Amino acid sequence: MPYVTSTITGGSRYSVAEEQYFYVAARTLVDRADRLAAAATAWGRAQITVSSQQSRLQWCAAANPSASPLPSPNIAADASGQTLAATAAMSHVSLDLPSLVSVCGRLAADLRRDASQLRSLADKLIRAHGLYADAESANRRVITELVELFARRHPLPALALTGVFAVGGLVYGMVNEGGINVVHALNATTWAQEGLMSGVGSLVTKAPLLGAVGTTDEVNMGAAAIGHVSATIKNLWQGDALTVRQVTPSREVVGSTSSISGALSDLHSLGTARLRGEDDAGLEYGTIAISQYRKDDGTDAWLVTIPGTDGKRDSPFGWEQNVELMSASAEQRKRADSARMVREAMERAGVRPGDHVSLIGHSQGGIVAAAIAADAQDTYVVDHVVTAGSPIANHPIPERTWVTSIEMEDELVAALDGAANPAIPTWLTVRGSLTTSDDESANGVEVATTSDRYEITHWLEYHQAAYEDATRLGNKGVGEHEEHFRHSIDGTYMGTTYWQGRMGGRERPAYE
Amino acid sequence: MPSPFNVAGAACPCTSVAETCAALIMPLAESSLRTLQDVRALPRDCAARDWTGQAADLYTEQLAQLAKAVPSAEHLAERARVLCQGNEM
Repeated sequence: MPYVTSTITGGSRYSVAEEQYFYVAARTLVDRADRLAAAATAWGRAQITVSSQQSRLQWCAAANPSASPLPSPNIAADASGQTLAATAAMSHVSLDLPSLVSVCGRLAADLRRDASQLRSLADKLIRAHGLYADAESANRRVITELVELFARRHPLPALALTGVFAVGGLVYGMVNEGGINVVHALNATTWAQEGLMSGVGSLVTKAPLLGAVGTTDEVNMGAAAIGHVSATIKNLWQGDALTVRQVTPSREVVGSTSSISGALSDLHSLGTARLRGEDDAGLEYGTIAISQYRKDDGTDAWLVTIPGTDGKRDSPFGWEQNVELMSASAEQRKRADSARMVREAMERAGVRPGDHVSLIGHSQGGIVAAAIAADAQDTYVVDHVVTAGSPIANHPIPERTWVTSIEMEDELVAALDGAANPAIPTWLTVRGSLTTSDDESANGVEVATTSDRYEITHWLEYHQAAYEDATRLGNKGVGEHEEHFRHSIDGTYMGTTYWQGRMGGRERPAYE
Repeated sequence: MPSPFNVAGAACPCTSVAETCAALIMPLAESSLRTLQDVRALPRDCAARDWTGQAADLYTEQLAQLAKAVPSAEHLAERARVLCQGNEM
């Protein structure tokens, strides 16, 4: 079964003294683990050496009191030329070698187990407090910039090299799983994905070669350039008239919640479960949910739950809309069908200008959430945005809006922004990595998936597991983001309305 | 320096075996005991200060369990030290 372990960047920092204490503690644990592991190895070798000494005792009369003093015809004299008979008159040492062998073996096993547990504890401490996260981010940034420069200067060799890595991943997958699984190819290029995307972005915009260094929004600039063309084609294919209507499920899909993990669970019910055919509530694709909470002072707070791309012919959550949402231009982002649909649904659900709003979205839903947080600040008070698997690093979300991003290491989609998310107190990123149950140091959370193959980790179940692991770690920043989210929708739950969007025709609605 | 097992002119292989084992086990037991002593101090040296929640509780609990397992490993290391010395006959 797949497990996910998380690392955390951003969120509030510990004090220098606190951080120093955790660094020292982690280093101490790793040092003790290393020493125990070395001792375990040494005891294992000692076991073999002592065991091999047992054969030499066959020449000791004291160790073989019942043996014949004559050497067995199959056994020659020992290296010094002594025979059993010759040793009878000598002085001896009584040794319980079988017991010594057993003790050595037990020590090797016990110390190896303890070393493994200590490493696991050190790993937990490091992940819980985001130790080394800055260094990892800096390394990642350097790799991203180098890959981007290479892709910008030598696009075809960069493409070929990526292909080589992808093929290597495919072969690895075939050896391990006995069949072709393209997800392995994707995984093998994880380290280069952000850099390649940035390279493509700067190629599209014809950015100067060295101008790309130090900037992170190449993809969004590229999306702005492509978006003009893609939107025109999309409008010919899908139309640009948006119809939003309220729908009613046969049972409650999104309910009252007070936690990010609860909201993620509802998002899963609304989106992923339906996409996978596991939903029986009668809701169709292109449907969002808007939950109302009444605060003690009589004002309303809203939570908007937005699923990801469904790619249906008449859905506002198609593939092309992702390009418009990723644009560096606010006007282009506002024109994206999915963003228009959410804003129209919010208005019709009763969200008034000045109301407090929080949004949670998966994939394209998360980009919509980020786009609204960036572009509708003059209309709503956007308190908190939660995204899962959404490339939103360059969306200009003001610092007053808290952002909790959950990304998977190898999902690709979250890397489409070509940059790492800002690591500031109000923007926290949980980054999940897949591991397997036979990994001894695995301390993660099991993914609620029925697939027995290595599958794409963009499914929301993986983000849920990553966030669950981050919560269990007890990270200070995660705790603060959880508390902020809870406070943002703190109030009496008034209910949830569901809104379905459909595309068709040639009409330009509002928010253009 | 003469070995306690090395009786001049009468060296049975068992004395050489004992020497080999002692040379191997004694320093190993010593260093292991020192390491285990340091592991025993971990709950104090690496306490989950200002860290709360499920993971912190589990961390504290597992660190305490590791420290509790130290005497058993120490006993084994001591036993190895005794066994490798053998008894002169």
